[in-house]
Amino acid sequence: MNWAAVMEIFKKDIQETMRNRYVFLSVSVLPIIIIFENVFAVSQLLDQPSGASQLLEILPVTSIIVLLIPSAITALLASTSIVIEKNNRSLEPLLATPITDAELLLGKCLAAFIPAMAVSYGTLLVLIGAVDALTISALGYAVLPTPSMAYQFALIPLIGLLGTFISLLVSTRIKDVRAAQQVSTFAVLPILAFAALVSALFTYDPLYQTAAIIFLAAVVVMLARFTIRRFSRESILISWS
Amino acid sequence: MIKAVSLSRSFGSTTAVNDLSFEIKKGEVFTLLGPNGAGKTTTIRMLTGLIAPTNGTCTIEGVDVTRNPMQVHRNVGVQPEVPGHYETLTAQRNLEFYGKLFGVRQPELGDRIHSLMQSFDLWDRRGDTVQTYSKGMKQKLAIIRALLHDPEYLFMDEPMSGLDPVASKTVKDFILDLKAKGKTVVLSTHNLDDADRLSDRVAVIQGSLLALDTPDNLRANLFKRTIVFHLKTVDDGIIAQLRDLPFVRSAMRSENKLVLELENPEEENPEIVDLLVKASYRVQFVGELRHSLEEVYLKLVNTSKEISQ
Repeated sequence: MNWAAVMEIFKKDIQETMRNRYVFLSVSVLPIIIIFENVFAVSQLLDQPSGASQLLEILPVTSIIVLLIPSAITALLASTSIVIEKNNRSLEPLLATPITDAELLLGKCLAAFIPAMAVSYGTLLVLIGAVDALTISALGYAVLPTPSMAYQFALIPLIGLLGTFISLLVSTRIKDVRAAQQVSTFAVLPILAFAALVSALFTYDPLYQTAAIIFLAAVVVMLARFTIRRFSRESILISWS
Repeated sequence: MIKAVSLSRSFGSTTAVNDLSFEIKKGEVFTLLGPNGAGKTTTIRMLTGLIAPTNGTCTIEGVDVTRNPMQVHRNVGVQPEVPGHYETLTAQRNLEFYGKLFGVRQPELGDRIHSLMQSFDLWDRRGDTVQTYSKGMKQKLAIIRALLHDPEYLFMDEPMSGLDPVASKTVKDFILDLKAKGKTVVLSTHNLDDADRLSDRVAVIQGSLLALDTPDNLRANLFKRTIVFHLKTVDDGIIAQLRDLPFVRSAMRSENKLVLELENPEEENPEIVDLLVKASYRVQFVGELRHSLEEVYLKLVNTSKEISQ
């Protein structure tokens, strides 16, 4: 594996993302909405007499919404990564360089996965900080993180990887950027729903949560292998000529 | 050396390239000529390991292109028909990206980018995003990109497309310069004048190989050599006399010129000049009517069409 080539593809994709103001805005808006919505809900609850007890019950569940971030960002970034190369016709010169399919895909995976992780964990940390600031001021103690949030912390990279591989797979098959994003988002939804369901139903049951994580990790491995196998530079070049 | 043996490629039921065999010598400028859809781009893609042939093999310096495409890519530069740059990045960043993928390290990469961008008159625009470049500038940038790792073999698909005459001359001079340095250049072009001027050999393809030779040999094989004798005055009497000569294939008059088709003008011209002088004609000038590569190309392609019908 030529890591220098992988990192070069990663850096180039990140630079392109940063220069695309629509993508940059899309990536920024979702975390801001999630933080604002949660902070607003917590402040409303704290104003009510029985708010504190309700807060402890619903917080672990409402913070599941953070899981939307890795799926949405990876769907946005990874789904467009190959389609944009195809639309720009930049894939042919890229494939004429001495890089392997695995190096190309890994570079593209990282360019979607790392920003998604940074934004997801960043959002979660800001959310915890903001909610705790409110509860410390109102109740005198911090409520986050709850023990069950460890499950969400572990789920974020798995959801991110699933989103990345599904979106890359979609990206190699679909010709239009918008269609690729839409299909990727819909393809990621069932997995997201599964993770959220397990999280909501078994909030306090580490056994089920661990089983769900192992299951999702196995799906990630299978999907990664499938994506690499299905990536055919030749069919992409031919179908896009 | 590049060696293609029975290269064929089908897409579904359509055969794009059929049984193509040729050798390209090191240091040669080799041109693929053919109408749209003749399989030129498919051939270049097979030769560069971008797509695999359905049948046949291709080797570059003995390395099988299909089996070892990565090894081949290190030694090959490809300029595709559509430049395909990262439009939101600067020209310099585009080149740095490709240079690093080819394993060129700093400071060599910086020096090469500087020297090539200077040669193509783009250095002053290196910090501009590619989306601000004209079509011709993008084309030149694609050529620079293909040359960053100093490949021994350069494949250029329609390199003069979209270039103004000045830029086109820069590219042509650069190709000749590469040839002088011993590099091998494989061109695909619609521009027959460029092919004629630049190529050591030309392969005319239309799915399969119609002809392969030097431009001069292609002319000689397809057309008799035509010699024009400019005389001060001419009349029809001399035409009949000339037609009687055994080596004259045809003779006709055009204003004050005699146009003769000959087998071997180097041997036969003096005899004809002698005859004309003895007959009191004043020979002002003798020249060969050169058939253009376009005529060669059209004759080959039309003959191929007639045969297939």
